Amino acid sequence: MRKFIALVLIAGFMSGCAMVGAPVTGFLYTDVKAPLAVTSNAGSSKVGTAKMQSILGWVATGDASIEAAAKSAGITKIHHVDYEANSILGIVASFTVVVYGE
Amino acid sequence: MRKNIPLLTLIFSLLLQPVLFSQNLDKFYSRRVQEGGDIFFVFPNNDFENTVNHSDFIFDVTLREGNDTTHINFTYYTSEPSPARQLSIKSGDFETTAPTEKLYVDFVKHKWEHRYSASFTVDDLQKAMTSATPCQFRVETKNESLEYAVRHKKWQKYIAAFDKVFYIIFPERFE
Repeated sequence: MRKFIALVLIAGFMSGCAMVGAPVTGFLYTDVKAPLAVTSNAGSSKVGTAKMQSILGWVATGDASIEAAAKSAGITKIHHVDYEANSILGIVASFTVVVYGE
Repeated sequence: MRKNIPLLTLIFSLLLQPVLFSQNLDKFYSRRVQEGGDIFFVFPNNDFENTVNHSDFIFDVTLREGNDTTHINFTYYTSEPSPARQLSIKSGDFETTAPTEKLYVDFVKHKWEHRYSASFTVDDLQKAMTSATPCQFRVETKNESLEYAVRHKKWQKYIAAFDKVFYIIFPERFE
């Protein structure tokens, strides 16, 4: 029983470290999409993404800037920006920015 | 220990969640409703690698309802500058080639990162992306031909999802 409690405490410690920012988050599991920005530019024919990731909350890498996402699809006029946030038990977490535009 | 079984089951279920719901298309593509035809975006695939030096090849696909042309944006890495001239997709006996358009070139972590775009017809993309034979990408540069392949198991998973997306966009093609 002690080992189990220790395991839960360790898992909890790890979970707390690898959470991802979002309007709503799940301690055990997060998989949400939400808006980030919108402009007055009309329509979109191109889509670009940029992603950053975290493992155990110990290592975090990536460039999830709007600029990186727009650059990946050659977008010069942004229509709107969404993002997706995912995390599983605080072990892995990712944040993806999705840019729509021309 | 028996008291902990429901909790352990819950934890393992969550760990297995990505596998259990692997056919959940939300993670595979996004759809935006807009005037003139919905826009579909198939998220980046990074399962392909160079057949010689195992460097990465990442691509995504953008399709628009009512449009016969699709766009593949792709990234490849080389140790020396090596701009792309054309992109070929080969699947079994079928092969299609398109000229490329540069999006950007960058130097990241001691490697040249090339990001290009190529346009293919919906017909050609469907033939290549829904074939049971894993497709191969070939980037033609001035000095060399770079080939990228994918493992059969990963490809099967990818085309299973891609086939569903094709049906969502073009149901008339399945009649």
